[in-house]
Amino acid sequence: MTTEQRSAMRDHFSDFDLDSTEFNDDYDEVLAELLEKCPVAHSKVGRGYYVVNRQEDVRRVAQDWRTFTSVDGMFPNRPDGMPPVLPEEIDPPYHTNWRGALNKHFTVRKVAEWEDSVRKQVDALIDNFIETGECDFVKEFAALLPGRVFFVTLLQAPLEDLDRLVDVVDDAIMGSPEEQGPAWAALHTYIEGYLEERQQQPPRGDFIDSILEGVDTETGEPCSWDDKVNVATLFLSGAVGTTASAIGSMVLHLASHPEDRDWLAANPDEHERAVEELLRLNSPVTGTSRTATKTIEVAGTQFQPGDRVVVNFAAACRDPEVYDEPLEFRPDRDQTRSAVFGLGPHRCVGSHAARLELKTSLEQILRRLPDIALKADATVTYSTGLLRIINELPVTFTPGAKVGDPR
Amino acid sequence: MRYSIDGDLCTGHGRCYSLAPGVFEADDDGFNAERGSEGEVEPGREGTAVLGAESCPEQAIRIVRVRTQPVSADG
Repeated sequence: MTTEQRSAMRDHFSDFDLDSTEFNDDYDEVLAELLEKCPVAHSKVGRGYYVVNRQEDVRRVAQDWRTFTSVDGMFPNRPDGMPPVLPEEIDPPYHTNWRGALNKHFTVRKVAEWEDSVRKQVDALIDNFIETGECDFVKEFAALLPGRVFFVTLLQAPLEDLDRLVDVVDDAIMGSPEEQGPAWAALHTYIEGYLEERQQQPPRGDFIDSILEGVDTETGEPCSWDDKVNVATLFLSGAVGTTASAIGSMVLHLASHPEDRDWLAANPDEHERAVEELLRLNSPVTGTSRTATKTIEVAGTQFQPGDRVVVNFAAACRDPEVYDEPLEFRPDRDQTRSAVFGLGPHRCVGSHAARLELKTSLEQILRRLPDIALKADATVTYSTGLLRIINELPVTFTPGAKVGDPR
Repeated sequence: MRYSIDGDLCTGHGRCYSLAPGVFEADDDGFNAERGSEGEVEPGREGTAVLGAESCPEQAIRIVRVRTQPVSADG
């Protein structure tokens, strides 16, 4: 069956489904078609939701938190039993208070201090497979690096704890709705235990201490203990799945475009722009949900109070109004404005950490696995929902030597 | 050339001072240091300023080109 025939079986304009096989399999074509012909799509799944696609409209909805609230949840259909995802599912001023307390731990300047530590983790993971000449880059690198960086630099918790949590984080982010609830609860339990432990220790002035200190809610009361645990839990789960997805997409590009791979190896000054462009092309987050608080029109569609509205960041990153030939990798685009880290007050707080992990991975891969290529018989498949993740990435390369113990 | 930084729209993506260092600077929380105010672009840095402004995902930076040529009466 051709792509066109299969896609024709679902009307993505009036019967859209983020979690559908049709969207997952025909992703590039569906996004392009939505951008061209359907600025606002509709879904009949669950309680139903709208999807806003063009960058200008996505920006407007994401920035206008008064009209499009986050308090009814980031999922178009919220899985049962999931604890509140904070500070994603709150509005200013409570949201602003949290960001005010946490932003300083994620600035460009602050994150630059992590570089040596990130490089050591990158090298340690590459050491695990470099002698064999092949690996599954998702399972053996992309899925592992973000959690390790998070544990070492932000939580300052033992890496052994992370080894126990890898599957739970995976289920929380990419599991079925039945798996997600329990997985989030398990993460919540671990984080709560760690926060309790840290509360007994002298303060370190770090990210965890800022969470323990807490902030005031919208009523001026100090926030609850549960809210603190929920904030820390989101940082762990938010850091891992998204960055893993971005690393996987970047390495898939290198492994399947040898001319770009070799050009990047010869032009290290272009790495930052290349990372930005690969992020734009492969948005890890497809979108998040808002809820209309009043009657409002966006791109010709009228929303009523209570309507769920997904902002399609992945589509916004490919809007032909903003980018010529949006599906082409062009690191020399004259502006890099993109929606890949979200827009408005909820834009990703960890964007600079993600960029650092991507750039450091890129440098070490080009240096240590210079002929990395997709395995001859490999078929790359994805899982798509609010995130889009590569399932497996079998690659081959000329075996090399380990560089040593990072710990 | 002058610029203004919208204090509500700037959320600290950091693209402006990453791509146009010396024109835009960061504050301690990662926002544009001149959020909510305006400033003058140093002569010769106009191109860099425009790149930084156009790369703002929130479109929070407005560039105002000040006319340097006298405007003729019929223009």
